[in-house]
Amino acid sequence: MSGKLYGYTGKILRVNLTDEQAITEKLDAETLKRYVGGTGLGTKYLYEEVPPSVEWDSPDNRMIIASGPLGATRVSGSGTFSVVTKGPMTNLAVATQANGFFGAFLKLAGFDGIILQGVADRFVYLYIRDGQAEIRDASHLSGKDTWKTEDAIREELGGGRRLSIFGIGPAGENLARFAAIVGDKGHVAAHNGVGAVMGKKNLKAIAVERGNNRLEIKDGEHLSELSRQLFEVSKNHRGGALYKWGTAGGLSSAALGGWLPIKNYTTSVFAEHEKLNGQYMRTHFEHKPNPCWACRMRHCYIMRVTEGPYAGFEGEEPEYECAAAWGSLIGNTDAGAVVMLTNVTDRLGLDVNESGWVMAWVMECYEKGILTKDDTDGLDMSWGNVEAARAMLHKIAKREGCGDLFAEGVKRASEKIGGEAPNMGIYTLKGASPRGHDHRGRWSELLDTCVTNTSTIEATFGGVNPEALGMQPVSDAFSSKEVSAVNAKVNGWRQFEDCLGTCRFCTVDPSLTIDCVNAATGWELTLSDAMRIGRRIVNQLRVFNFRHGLTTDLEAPSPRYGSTPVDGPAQGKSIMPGWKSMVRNYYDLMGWDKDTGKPLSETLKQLGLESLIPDITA
Amino acid sequence: MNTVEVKITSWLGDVFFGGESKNLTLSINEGDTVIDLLDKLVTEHNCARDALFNAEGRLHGYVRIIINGRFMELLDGLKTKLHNCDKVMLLPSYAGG
Ligand code: SF4
Repeated sequence: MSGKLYGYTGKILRVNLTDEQAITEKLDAETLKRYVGGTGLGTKYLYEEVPPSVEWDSPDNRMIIASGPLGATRVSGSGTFSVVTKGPMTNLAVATQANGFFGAFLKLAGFDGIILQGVADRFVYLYIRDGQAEIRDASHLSGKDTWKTEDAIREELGGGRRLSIFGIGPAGENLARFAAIVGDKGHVAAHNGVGAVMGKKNLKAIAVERGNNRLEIKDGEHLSELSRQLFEVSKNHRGGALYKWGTAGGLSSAALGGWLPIKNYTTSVFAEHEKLNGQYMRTHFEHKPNPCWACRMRHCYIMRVTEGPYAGFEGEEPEYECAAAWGSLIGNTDAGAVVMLTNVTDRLGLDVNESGWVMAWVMECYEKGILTKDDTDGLDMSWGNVEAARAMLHKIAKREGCGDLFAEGVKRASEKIGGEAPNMGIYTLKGASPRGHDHRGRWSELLDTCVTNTSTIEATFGGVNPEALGMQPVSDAFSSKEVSAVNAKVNGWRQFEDCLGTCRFCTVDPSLTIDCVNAATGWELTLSDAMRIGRRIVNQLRVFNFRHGLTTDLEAPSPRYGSTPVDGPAQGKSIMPGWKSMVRNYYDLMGWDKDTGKPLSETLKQLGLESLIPDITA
Repeated sequence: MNTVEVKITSWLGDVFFGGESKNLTLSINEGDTVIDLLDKLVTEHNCARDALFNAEGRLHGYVRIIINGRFMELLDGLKTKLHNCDKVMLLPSYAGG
């Protein structure tokens, strides 16, 4: 396949940090049609260049950062990018996304993606502009939080708003296992310790300058019209709630439905939800827009607390997951404190999901006497003590004192303490952190979180939505058979979506989204082509994971994560009696061996992955 | 006359009534089930039909129903019989969460 490329720059930047060399490699049309971009491109390079002998902290580990065919277009939220690497929480593959401007600026600087390899022998940052990359000294940025790092680099480079900067904070520098990559003041590639991988490479940040690279779009006029339609549909999706109240607008629904995580899953009842939700924050706190590239969703704001002990504090508007972690999960009911802790987490460069699970677990252990002040460096880790939580986050990010243990994440820290401690932690046996919900009433996400190959939800997003793909809805959310069948049927779409360089909140209509891709690239993809591409990614990551040590006994929840709710709307109902049959049914319908969970040769052949068959059968 | 209290929460309240959450009292007949109640709701509030049901007449996947504090699937699903003074909550999933 050859010919002119539309929607792409056709180039990927390869940076070898060991010898501080950057080269440009071509991306051909065949590769792009097969892997599309974002998570797909990341999967290709991860699979081809990271053999099983390479651990997450090896210089030979790769980190692939990529936009996609819609990146830098007029499609709302097309500044998004994927990060793919082998991460330290699972020591398996991770694909995680961040929104903002970076993905768009990268394309306008002349690249569809970046491959990072090697380890710098000094602390550096990468500066990309006009098709060139420069490795610069970052010793003066050491120890700086992510916001200060952004400010310092912006000042140094003088690029103002033409720069997008993503980097690590103290957590990534100190290899906290759940360190994140943070940029554009409040956007986070959060999962599976991608910040620690960057820290291990001695890479503090990547600054990309917007540049004037002109993207060739196949049918720009049509894409503009489709983008407008897609925005309208996305804006009005589910009553336009996101547009009005942000993701934290869903906190009360979560509380009423029993899927808000409360005090480490010790209860499913939280009467104070209206003090913490998006409606409360947006009607009580000052806020000014902080939108992403080409996005008019009114979703992201910078917020100033106007009441309570944190009056005057300014930070990014807490997303639902932040409000859940720093509110109900740790027993706090002050929204101002949620804003404060959200900002501290992002500045330190930590994943808010795992940070919340760690903190809530520490608090429960403290309440039950499993941990005492001797174990917490004198901190009073009582429920709702937000100042102690703040201090603990600093300790974790710096691996100071007790923070060194807790920086390992709940699974490893609790196993080290032993006794009852591991039974109280919320984690998957594979090591992937659940999102910020109580999944015991949302089985589709509990299953997805445990069997995922991306180390975060793979098939679901805000529940499962088969109707968007022209399928019938789940009729019984507590049927092991139906839930596993629907998860298997829909798996593929989300991974295709993560190839595009767009924000999921802005692509709620799959058919319009595919039309946008076709208008940008000149392709003629159908929904079934898109699903096939997505499933190919899922299967290739799965083969990668098996080669890197995955075993199916790890695809299960920790005892507390899979426990029976003691109250709330799912009281007394446990997922565990049907767990094994649920997983087997899912494997089967994914075209995987029911017992071993490995993709069958037939499945790999159907997806055009026959070259992987020897890898999985060896 | 038997009645049930129906609470329509979050953005579903918006779709139905232009408010964030709405409480209604609806009369029911002896032996009425959840689906009878939804039929009544749809008859009385026309805009409810598309918000609750898809083109095949199946309840949208994003609508969870809680009866007296319990998910309806853990009772008898849409066939759950309703009684005087029961509390029914319609709870939609939220974008992204
Ligand atoms: S919806 Fe929110 S996160 Fe997504 S692109 Fe728009 S502002 Fe950014």
